[in-house]
Amino acid sequence: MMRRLPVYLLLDTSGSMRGEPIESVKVGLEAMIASLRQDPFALESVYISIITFDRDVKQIMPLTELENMQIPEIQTPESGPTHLGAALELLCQKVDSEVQLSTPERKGDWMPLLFIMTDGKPSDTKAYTDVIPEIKKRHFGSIIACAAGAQADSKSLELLTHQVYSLDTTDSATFRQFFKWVSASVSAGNRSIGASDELLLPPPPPEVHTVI
Amino acid sequence: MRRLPSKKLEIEIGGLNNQQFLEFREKYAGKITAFAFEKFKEFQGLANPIASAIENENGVKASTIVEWNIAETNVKSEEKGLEKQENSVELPIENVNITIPEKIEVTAKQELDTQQKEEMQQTNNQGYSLSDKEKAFDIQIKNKQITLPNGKVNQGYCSDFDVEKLLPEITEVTFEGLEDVGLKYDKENKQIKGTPNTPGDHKLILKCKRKDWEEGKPIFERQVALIINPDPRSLWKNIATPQDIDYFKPDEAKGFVKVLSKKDGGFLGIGKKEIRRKDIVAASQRGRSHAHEGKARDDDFALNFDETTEWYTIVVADGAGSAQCSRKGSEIACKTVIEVCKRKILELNTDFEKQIKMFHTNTSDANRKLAGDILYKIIGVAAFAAYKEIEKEAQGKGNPVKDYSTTLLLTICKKFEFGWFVGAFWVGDGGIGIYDKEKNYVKILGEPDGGEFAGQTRFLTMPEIMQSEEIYRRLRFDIYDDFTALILMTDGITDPKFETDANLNKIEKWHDLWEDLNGKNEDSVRVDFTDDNEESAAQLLKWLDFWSQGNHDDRTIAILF
Repeated sequence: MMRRLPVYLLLDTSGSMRGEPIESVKVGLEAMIASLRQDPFALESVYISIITFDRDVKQIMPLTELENMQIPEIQTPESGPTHLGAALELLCQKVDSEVQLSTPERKGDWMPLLFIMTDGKPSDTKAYTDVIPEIKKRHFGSIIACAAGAQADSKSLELLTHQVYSLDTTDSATFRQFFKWVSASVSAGNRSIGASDELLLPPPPPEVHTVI
Repeated sequence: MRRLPSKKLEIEIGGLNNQQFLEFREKYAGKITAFAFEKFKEFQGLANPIASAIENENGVKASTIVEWNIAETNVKSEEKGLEKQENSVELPIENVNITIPEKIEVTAKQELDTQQKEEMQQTNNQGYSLSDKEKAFDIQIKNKQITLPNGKVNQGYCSDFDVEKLLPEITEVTFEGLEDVGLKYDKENKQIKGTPNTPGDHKLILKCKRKDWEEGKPIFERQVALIINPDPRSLWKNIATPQDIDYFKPDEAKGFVKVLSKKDGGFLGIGKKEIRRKDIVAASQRGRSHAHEGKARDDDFALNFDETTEWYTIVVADGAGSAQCSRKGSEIACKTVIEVCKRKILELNTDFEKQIKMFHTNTSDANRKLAGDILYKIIGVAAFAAYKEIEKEAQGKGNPVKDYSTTLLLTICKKFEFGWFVGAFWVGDGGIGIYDKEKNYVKILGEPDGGEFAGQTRFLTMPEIMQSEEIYRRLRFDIYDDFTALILMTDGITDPKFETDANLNKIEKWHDLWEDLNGKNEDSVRVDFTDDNEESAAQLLKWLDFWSQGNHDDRTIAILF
């Protein structure tokens, strides 16, 4: 039993992604998987899960080892809201049940990585705000958010992570670039995380203030 | 509401039929989607009212219906068609959102040169003219979800493939392209079998006949994807570490400390006997993950035997993978510990040995405390000095101490007439163990520092470690009759060989490790632990190259035997 590197991809499938944008995402995703298959570290340790969010939130692929994965069909409704908050709630559940922590008898996984791609902003703002502290508790090795296109709201993503990247358009070249970068981050993931001691410390409870 | 203008839809969509489109899409994937969807928006204006009408009435997904209508162009009556769809026909859901109005086809054709067009027509027609029924069947085959499990190069592959379960009307099946990959379709057992030889995303052509096939009737075909993963072993690169980097360190190292037998006992030189004394062997190798990127080894070790006092000192250290200068951190730690231990042992030896003897005679808490206090003054001080040296180096270079993060595992030991005294200090992951094969005994000299997730551990350079109580808490010592081996190793060894912290305490795992070192492994690499065998260092280094999936960290091991 080896140590796994869990990678969660949260993809926006709301109405605005329908058509060319989502097709471009698929192409980018395929290219990413193909490229990861050429990386021995990824091939031996990466596990990927895909969660899509629009009005509904679905884990379209549970945590699956790269070696055995096949890209599932991604569908987009004609229109509808962007339930990113609900997606993150589902993510927390999945991380709790899928990611293994170390115990004396069991080998823990590497810290999971999270990639979020959206072309809009969370429609379920309350759920979104509420879930952010929960996400922080899950100790992701890295959270990388991608705001694609002119309508994307990077402000709300910044509440979640300081690594927010904006893509100007939602065409295939842009997404290919994004996924290429995801795969580079995943390849580096195993090697760069782990040693930093701060990541082990939970954030202080809200009532605690720093003494001046 | 059921008055579907499906005829109109037919006309609008016309141009490419679904089958043509699928082939077209496969051939020109990437190219076509970009512009198809621009046009699709225009088309949506027509499709949406129809689709949403159906959705409301039947609760069926709009896009599915649109697609289905296209697929079933031969169905005359809208009413009949709809029922058929509801009851029996498998919806071609895999390809829902691709539809092309006639206008697109024109655009598409403009992009193709004549030759490509001809090719396309040839493949489309396959030399047969299809009846409406056959066309529908062809579309059904093409839309069927067929997935084959992924394979791996040089690893046996066997997957059931019973096409009749997918489509009962089909009888004979052949795969084109399967043999090129090293696989065969076994018709008897309905299995795809063999050993794949070519990695990649292969596109196989599935050819099949309907049960009522006879000469002149069409053979249906479609593409099936088969992914063959490369063997990760073949992907690892071994790039030498550039010599001009800061703190260059060789990619591998080995060491052997030969301690010759000595004559002892007897009286006035009569009746002296040869007493065999243990040697130390050690090896350290850069992990594949570092080799793949041409990065330096972060692990280190150092060994010493002091002939005057007869004390052994053994240190291994694992520089943190994420810290930029950790290779220097581990090096400084090892060197400093050796120096300080040597000096401190010389200084404190008389008291120390006296105390050890007292502890042996009476293992009372008071005696334990006294011996522990002296041990603290030797190895506790050595560990602290190592930290201070690292800090000095970091400050000199203007780097944070954190950049030099390293673990530290060290032991000092000496053989007395009543047995071996072994003292240890350990911070971080990895392991130190005293193993006795004959007595079926193992003692772990500390606890691994692990976090919730893989790779998390504590380092010598953390302020919370360099506290006197914390250092004291991490000391271990005892007296042992004798042992097969005293082994110190970094997590590059403990991860693949022991896997969990619990296993580190299991004697079976230590037996396995010892047998493994003695040649019971995939490559039959054997370390010959005969007394004074200097060759064992090279053998141990070779042994370190063992294969373990997902475990490619630097590996360092030191053995007193």
